[in-house]
Amino acid sequence: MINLDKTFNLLESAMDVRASRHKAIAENIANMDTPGYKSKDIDFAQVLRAKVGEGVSMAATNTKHIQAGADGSASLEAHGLQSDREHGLDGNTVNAEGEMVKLAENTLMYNASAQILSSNFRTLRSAIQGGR
Amino acid sequence: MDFFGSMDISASGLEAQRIRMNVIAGNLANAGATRTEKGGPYRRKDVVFESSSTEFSKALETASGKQQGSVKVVDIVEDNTPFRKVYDPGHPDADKEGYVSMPNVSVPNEMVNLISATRSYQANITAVNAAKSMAAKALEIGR
Repeated sequence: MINLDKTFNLLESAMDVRASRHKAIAENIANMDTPGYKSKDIDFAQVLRAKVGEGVSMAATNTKHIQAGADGSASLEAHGLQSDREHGLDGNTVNAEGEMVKLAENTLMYNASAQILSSNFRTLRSAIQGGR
Repeated sequence: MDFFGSMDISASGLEAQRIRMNVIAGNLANAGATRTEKGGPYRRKDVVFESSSTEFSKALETASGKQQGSVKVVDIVEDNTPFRKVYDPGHPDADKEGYVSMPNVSVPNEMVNLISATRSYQANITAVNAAKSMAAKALEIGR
């Protein structure tokens, strides 16, 4: 039998991390015009790994990706990435276009996870009903 | 899943941009006002945005259970740049040399700020809609 429990847990955690990432992006968008505001982001792979343990492994493809730590904490503050680039003279580092792209990507990935979770539940129901 | 927190943050952005638009509208409406309650021509006003992640407000917001990372208008300040001098001897507020002090409002500047505020407002709306669609998708799980 397929180990659906593990998949459920992974997808659930993935959706949680996506939701926190949305919060970080919404924060950046709200503070688009705040002088001195430094933009934040969440390293999805790193936070997910911290949440579900070493059962899932993901490669660090970007130099900004944080290496896996043993802390296991998944708070926004602990893993929030801060951009060091300034786009204006007021010290604000929010890149408006970049944030909108991240927002769209994050929403799509959240919806995709929800859809996969949904289809896994359908698979389970099909097994319970004996294929009827 | 905490989409209401994200929506609160986006709502704070919407509110801040709306106040900014109100102030800009006030500046444009008074671009030619040479008399005010305080005397003298109208002075251009500007908003001051602050992120609630600063040390003091962080403690305050945590204590009051409010969302961190939201934005708010902490002050509306007056622009202290000098007034524009326009030569118009027939004007009732002209000085001895015939010059009238006009408000330090630059209409093109205000229009640019207005567009910037509108775009930021729309970006916050997009973030709210994204949160809504994600929450709706989560409710569909198991259907």
